[in-house]
Amino acid sequence: MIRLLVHLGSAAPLVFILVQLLTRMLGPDPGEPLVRFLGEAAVVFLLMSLAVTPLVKTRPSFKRLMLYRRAVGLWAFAYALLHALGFWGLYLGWYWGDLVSELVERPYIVVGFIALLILLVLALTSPKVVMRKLGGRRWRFAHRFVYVAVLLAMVHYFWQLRSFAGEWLVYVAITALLLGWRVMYHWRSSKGRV
Amino acid sequence: MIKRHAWQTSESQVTPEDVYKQRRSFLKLGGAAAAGSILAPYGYAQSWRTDEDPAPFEAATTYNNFYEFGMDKTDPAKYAHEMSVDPWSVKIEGMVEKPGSYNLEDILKWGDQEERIYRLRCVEAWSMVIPWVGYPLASLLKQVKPLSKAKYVVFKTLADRKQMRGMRSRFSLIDWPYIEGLTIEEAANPLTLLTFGMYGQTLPNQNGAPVRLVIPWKYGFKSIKSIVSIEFTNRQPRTTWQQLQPKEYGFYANVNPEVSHPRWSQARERRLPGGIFGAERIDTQMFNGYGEQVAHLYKGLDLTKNY
Ligand code: HEM
Repeated sequence: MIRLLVHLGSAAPLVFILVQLLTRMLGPDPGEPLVRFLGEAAVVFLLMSLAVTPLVKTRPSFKRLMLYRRAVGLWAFAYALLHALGFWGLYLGWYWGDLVSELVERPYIVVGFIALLILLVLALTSPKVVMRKLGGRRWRFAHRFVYVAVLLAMVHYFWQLRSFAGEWLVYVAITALLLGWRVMYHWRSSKGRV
Repeated sequence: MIKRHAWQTSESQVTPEDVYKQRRSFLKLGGAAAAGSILAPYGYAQSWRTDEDPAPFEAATTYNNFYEFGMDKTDPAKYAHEMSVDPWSVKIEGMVEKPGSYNLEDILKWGDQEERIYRLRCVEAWSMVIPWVGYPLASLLKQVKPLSKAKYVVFKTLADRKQMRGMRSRFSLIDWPYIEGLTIEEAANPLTLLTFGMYGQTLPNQNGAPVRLVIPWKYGFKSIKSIVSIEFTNRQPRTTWQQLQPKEYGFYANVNPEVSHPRWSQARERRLPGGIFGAERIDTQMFNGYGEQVAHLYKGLDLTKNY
């Protein structure tokens, strides 16, 4: 039941933007608002998935959140993928050649592409079966790359800014908080063990 | 008086919007009745048109870059009405015989108003076809008489935090006012239009009221809006975008499909408005298709370096 709500809630932004697209509310260049919205959604979901562990560790009563971490992470990947597809379709008119040259030549897109590839690997290795096959240690190692992905996403985001960095700063602050918390936590617990 | 040029196509080829047809009979100046009497009696000739379809008025007035009013393309349409454009005056400064502060009413009379349908190509790799009303900047030059040592013309946009909410945002990276510049030869080129109207009416605020430039062979950001100062100098100015990203934006900013911008390939463009599957993608033309009229300005200049 809660799982269903999590998925419905996660799909809501997608429905919201698609309805606007189909009812032509996105203006003369629907690609831009669509791609921007999906990119931002990807970042928000990525940060939400990264917020689960600190929340659970600091407030044990939130333990159940852990059950939905994977779902939120998968939605982050879904939004990132749709963001990239939106770019290919609505900016580049589905031209293969243009996509390939963008993916290798345009620095901010290269960075976004690497982030997307990481998220793809994490999504593919997220089912329990795969996790068991890989073994916990290797799985955890692979999934640490989510930190790389979120940092690359922030670089990608910054690089495409024209002249206003306000929202970006908010996301960077949250990223710093979530990653900083982990550094502190591991530092403390390793000291504790000694 | 109808001005006809060799490059213009016949009128019947143009299929503008119905709305636009009704509007173009004469310039209606919105709001101020006093101002209304200024342009209307002049009427204007139609010249210099592309046979491509103009974008609907709605598209051209709701999808704008005008960072003084905000970062989103929809911000200018929402907030530009907070700018007062009447009365308006423009300072003519620097190396010029007749410097001074001139009222818009005077400036309007310095040339014959014409309608021109130009392609406008944004550096963000989209374009629209827009019918403008104005007169060649060359007419203004004739009036104010730049000195022979003047090599560049510098333009500034109004910068008033009280009226322009985008300027009040704390995390903006831009150093206001917005500055643009042209060489004196570019300014005098007959294509460079000092623009007061579009679609047969006064410029809406979000499109740069009451007076802006339209330079069809350059990326859109060169076509500076809501001008309050025109200065003549002998030194190449540093424009706003050059200050912000010196590696990405050059002084000339001529439309050039071969020189790709770090953010956007310039080989193709999205012709707006687009539908739910995106906009039509067309090949970008050198000098936005106006090479015949302007290529000579850049003879001997390496355009891959002087982008
Ligand atoms: C192949 C992969 C990707 C491509 C081709 C791509 C493309 C783009 C483009 C073209 C823009 C700029 C839109 C514009 O200026 O009009 C953009 C912005 C953005 N992208 Fe990506 N991107 C990719 C991957 C990602 C990933 C993986 C994330 C996050 C997890 C992401 C998050 C963002 C964000 C947050 C923005 C800024 C949105 C805004 O302005 O509000 N992108 N991306």
